[in-house]
Amino acid sequence: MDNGQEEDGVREGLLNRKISRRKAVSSMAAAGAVIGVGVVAGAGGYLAASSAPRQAPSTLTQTVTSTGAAQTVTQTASAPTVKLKDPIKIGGQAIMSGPYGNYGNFMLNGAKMAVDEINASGGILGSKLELNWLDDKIDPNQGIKNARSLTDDWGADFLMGIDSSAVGVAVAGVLPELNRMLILSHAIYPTINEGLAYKKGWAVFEGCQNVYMDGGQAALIAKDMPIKVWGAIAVDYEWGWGVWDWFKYSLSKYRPDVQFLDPVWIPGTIITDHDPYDSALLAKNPEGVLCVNWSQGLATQIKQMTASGFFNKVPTSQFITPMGLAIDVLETLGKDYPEGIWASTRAWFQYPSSDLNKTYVKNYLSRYNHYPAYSSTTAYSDIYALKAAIEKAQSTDTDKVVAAMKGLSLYTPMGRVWVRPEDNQFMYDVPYGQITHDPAYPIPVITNWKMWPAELWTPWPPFGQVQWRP
Amino acid sequence: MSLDLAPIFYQGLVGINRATYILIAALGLTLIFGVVGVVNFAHGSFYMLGAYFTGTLLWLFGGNFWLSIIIAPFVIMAVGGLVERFLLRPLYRFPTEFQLLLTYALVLVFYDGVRIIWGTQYFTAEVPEGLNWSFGVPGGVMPFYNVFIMIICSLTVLSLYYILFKTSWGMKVRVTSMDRDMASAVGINVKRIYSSAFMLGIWLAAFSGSLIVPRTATSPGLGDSIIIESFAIVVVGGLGSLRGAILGSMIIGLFEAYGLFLIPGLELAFLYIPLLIILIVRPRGLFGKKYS
Repeated sequence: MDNGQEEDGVREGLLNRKISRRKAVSSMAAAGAVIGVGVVAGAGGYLAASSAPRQAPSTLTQTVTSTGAAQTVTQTASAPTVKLKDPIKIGGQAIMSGPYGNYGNFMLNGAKMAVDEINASGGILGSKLELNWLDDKIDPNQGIKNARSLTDDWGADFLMGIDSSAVGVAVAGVLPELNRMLILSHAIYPTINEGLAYKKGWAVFEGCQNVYMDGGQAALIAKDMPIKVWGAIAVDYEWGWGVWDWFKYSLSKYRPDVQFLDPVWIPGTIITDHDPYDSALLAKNPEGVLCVNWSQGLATQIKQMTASGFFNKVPTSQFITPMGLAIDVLETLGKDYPEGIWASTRAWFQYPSSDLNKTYVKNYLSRYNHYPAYSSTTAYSDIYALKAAIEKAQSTDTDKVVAAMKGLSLYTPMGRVWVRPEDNQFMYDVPYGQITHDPAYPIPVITNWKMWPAELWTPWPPFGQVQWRP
Repeated sequence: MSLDLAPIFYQGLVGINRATYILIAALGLTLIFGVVGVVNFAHGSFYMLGAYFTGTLLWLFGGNFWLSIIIAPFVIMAVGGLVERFLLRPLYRFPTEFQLLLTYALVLVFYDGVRIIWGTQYFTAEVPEGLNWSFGVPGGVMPFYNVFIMIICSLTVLSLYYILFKTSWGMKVRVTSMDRDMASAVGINVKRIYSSAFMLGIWLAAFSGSLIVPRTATSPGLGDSIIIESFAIVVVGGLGSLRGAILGSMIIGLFEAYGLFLIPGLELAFLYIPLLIILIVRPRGLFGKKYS
């Protein structure tokens, strides 16, 4: 399959949506022009990325695999030639309890669905999948205990899941000793892919988009706004720091005239009253605001911002929140979600408009009575990526599967996913858009879609554009 | 260059508002310690249960806010009564550490109980009709619901003072809190006083949780959000002192708000600065009793 065809497939969603091809192309061209003119020195990686085609594995043939609930177009070996161990065991863990327990359950939903589909269609080269899922309690020590227990006691062949980057780093640290690979379906931070995978060569894969999407694509939206003073309100831990740092770095390249205020940092605990934080930010008179919060914290914050007249001072069209399209936020705010806010997520159920995604969303809705959360979709896709890698490797041996996973390219409900071999980052595109209320959906959705290829807003090896705070 | 005082004024207003939200729960915490002598780690969990049960009643009563916030705290108060009668009472004769361990265990039990009964999904409620408007104040906008909370908080404080200082039950409570053995000697049913004071403290926590529902996304960790601040308030004000809780909540609320305003990033330190000063200078708190 040539790259042009691939790119057309990836962009299919754009064409069928409220953004025209001309607009999409012109947006990308404009972004490219800005990069070309203004950021040659600093964004060498960008240029390399935008001009370098994605590489499809040459040893594979593309096959269409019909599974019980979804039709998955993947690039896989054509027929089983070896007998693998049976069952193939996947050990997962995530936050299953406490205030963020819904995120672990989202992930488990997606993982279960993928396993059931794969098993219903005959498994992987004839071997069934078995899933065992534990609660990591957002505790790095618990994460390590779980990883050891899943591997040593239960016999997991592969590890996956995890919401917190701290837990992800901790579990990644014991991978060499366990001789297993780990796919992170939610935990993200560049110290993992750039630090552990790229620099140290650890077998940890970022199966979810990174802070690059949250901050980098937000910067691409912000560059077209007539705003000269950007403020931020962000959670005071790795994710909040990383998104703000990457947003500043990326936007500065396009708009050197922009001034960045010191952010207002929100503690990483549950906050029921955001007013003191929001008013402290407004007192700095920002023209635009990047809000890096998530889950119930973001829902509460937006609810209270609306009541306190925040959006009278900073219009919703000048307010960007990277996790504003998370399903839990949409379901909690419902019709009270102010229209016009720029929002995104790590996998959006309306994108791409491929049959594969439509079937996935339909099946997920039918099974769980909710639209899929992004971590459901990443976990689902990660298991299909693992399947493709095992089929490519013709083995469940960790080293062979790791080697097969690097550079893998496949279609999932998120669109085309490419596993960047240098840092094991799953590369795929995700849209941003402005919140709107469409009677066709029981939750808020987005209009005025904006989307740039992942290659554009992701840093490239050898990295080093931003010194990520440890 | 002129100094714009409006944002400073508004931040103060936000801080006072924050204080009133926590104060009702903190009053319950200090009452329980003052009378029963239990440091209730599970206080935040009862706050959370109040919020969850309010959500359930809102659903049952078709969104009737008033009925829900009246009934829910009483249901949770009954749960508190059962906890006191069957779990805490057998531990009164043991060292305080046993009560601490029990209330901490309750936190874990309620966490999982909420997850099993209500699931992990969040919910919120609309601010009721008549309270869902805002008005301008110097430096910003004030939602009327916040003013409503201030009024409710004031009424709660006044009612509590009336109950404790103007009723015979209140007199018995005060006597029991001063000297349990003497209270028993003069014929006061200490067990009943303990039980009722504990239940009133739980009612205050649950009522506070009910009031937060229209303002927040309710999740299983809701109790965590107030327990640290509640303890900070009662330590600053003095464990067991209602006056101390009121003053402590204002100090904590204003320190937090102005800390964010003046030195962003150090607001948590600002929360603990008054706590540290009090612990060093006056360990029993502003209005706390001297420990022998």
